[in-house]
Amino acid sequence: MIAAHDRIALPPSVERRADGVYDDVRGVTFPLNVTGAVIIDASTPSAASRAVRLVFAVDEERALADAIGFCVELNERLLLNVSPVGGSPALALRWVVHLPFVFPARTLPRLPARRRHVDTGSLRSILVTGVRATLPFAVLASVGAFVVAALVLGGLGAASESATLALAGAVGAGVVFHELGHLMLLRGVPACAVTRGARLWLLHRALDRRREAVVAAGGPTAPLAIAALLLVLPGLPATVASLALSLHALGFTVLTADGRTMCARP
Amino acid sequence: MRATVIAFALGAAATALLAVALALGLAALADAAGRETFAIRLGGLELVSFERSASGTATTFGPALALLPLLGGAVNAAGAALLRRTGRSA
Repeated sequence: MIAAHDRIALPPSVERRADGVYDDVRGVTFPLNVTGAVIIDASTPSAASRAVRLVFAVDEERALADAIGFCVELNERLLLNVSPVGGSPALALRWVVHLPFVFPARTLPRLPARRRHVDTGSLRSILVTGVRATLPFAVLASVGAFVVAALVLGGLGAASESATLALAGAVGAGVVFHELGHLMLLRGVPACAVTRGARLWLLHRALDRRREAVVAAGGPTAPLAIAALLLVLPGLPATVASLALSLHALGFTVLTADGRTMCARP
Repeated sequence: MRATVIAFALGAAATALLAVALALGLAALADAAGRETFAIRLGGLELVSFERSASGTATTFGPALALLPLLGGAVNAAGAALLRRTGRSA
């Protein structure tokens, strides 16, 4: 899913050092071999392949395959951000084009992950950077929810513009509140947001079991608190928004990663 | 034992919240769609009923709303125990 001319760059909080790349969120240095160092200093896989060709005297095709393969590996480890040429629509198109090739193997094309900076130094910085990191994903979730809600409510004969908008807004806001709920409890702990296709999660420095469970509980609790406040407001849109936010209660069950952290850690 | 109790309590709380949300949501939808009456039963037990009268609308929660959390808690505790046993909790 990574193409030759996509822009590649180290994510915020990952820095190049003499002995490799240092991930400030995990607090770990990952060593790099010579090939890795050549590739990671390039701006695109294509530029990386040219550098590899010069240093190791390999043919063009192999150099490009190695460069892309290395970028995929680094992206899998959340150590490299990829900005596709043409943006998200181009990436979505690539996903569709790859689908017939990988689906017979009962798998789906794997979209590149993207790390987004979050500053957990203070509550204010958490609020600002947390909203900025989660907003693009929340907007997409809102648009998706709007389309589905419009079709379902219309089909049930209960179409209501205000209720549909409230539902879509609550889905998007729920995503932001949920992640802010986690982040508020991660104050002072290096963390970042990660998106991959339809998934959003937080990566943070290792914590002791008890604090990890508390942080996991913070996510679903935040939207549920807002849902409780909305429930006392009059009108259908407030009720609908409250109900959509209350779905975050699933976050306390083993159906979700948060719930498994709270309930099923040995 | 403690982990099982926590899993049960969280599962029960989540199910209770979701059941109330589902009941309220369906009642709101019934109201918006102009339905006169509406009821959902689980087995022989009523979860929620909605009724429109001349003076307004009434939504009543039934006994299924008390039983569902117990069921949800038990299922969540069983799921958590299974995940702990198979080591797939992460």
